Amino acid sequence: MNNIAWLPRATRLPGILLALAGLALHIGLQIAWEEPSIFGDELINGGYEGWWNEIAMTFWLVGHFMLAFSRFKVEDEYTDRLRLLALYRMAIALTVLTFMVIWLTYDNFLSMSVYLLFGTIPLYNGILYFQWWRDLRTSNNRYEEQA
Amino acid sequence: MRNMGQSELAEQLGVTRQTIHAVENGKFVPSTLLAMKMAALLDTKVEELFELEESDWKQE
Repeated sequence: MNNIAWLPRATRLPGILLALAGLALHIGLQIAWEEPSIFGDELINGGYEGWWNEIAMTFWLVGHFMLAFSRFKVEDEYTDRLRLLALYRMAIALTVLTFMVIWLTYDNFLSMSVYLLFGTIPLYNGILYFQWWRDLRTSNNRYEEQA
Repeated sequence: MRNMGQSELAEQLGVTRQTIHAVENGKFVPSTLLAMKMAALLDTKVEELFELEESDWKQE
C-alpha cells in the first residue's frame, strides 16, 4: 500500500526553491523590461528576447511538479488529506492575491486573466496529479485488481 | 484491551501520531484497514473501538 520507494527522496524544498526562483525571475523580468525600462529607453525592445521568461516559467512549472510528487507529502491517510487541504487553501489564497496585485497594479482585468493562467494552472495541475496518483496508490482503488 | 501510548500505536501502525490523535478526537474516520489494524494491535474488536453515533446517519 505504501510502496513509494521509487519516489525521489527530497523534492519538497528544491521544488519550493525552484518554483520561487522561477517566479522571482519572471516577475523581475516583467518589471525590469516594462516601459519605461529601468535599463533605459535605448534597451526597450532591444535586449530582451522573451526566452528567459520561458526558462523562468519552466522553473515555476517543474518546481510545482516536484512538490506534487514529493515523497514527504505522503505519510498516511490523514496527513495526506491535511496536506491536500493546505494545497487547496494555498491555491485559493494565491488566486485571490494575484487578482488583488494585478488589479492594484494595472487597474484592469484583461492582463489579470493572462497572469492567472500562468500563475495558478501549474498549482492546480500539481494538485490534480497528486490526487490522481494518491487515488491510484490507495489499496481499495487498484483498478487493475478489480477486473 | 492492551494499554498503549499514541506514539507507540502510531509507530506500529506506520502512521503519524497526529493521525491517532485525530481518530481519538473524532476528527478523522479511519479506513477499514487502519481500523482493523488498530483493533488487532490493541487486542480488541473494531466494534469496541468505534461506534455509530446519531449524527453519523445524517446525510451531509
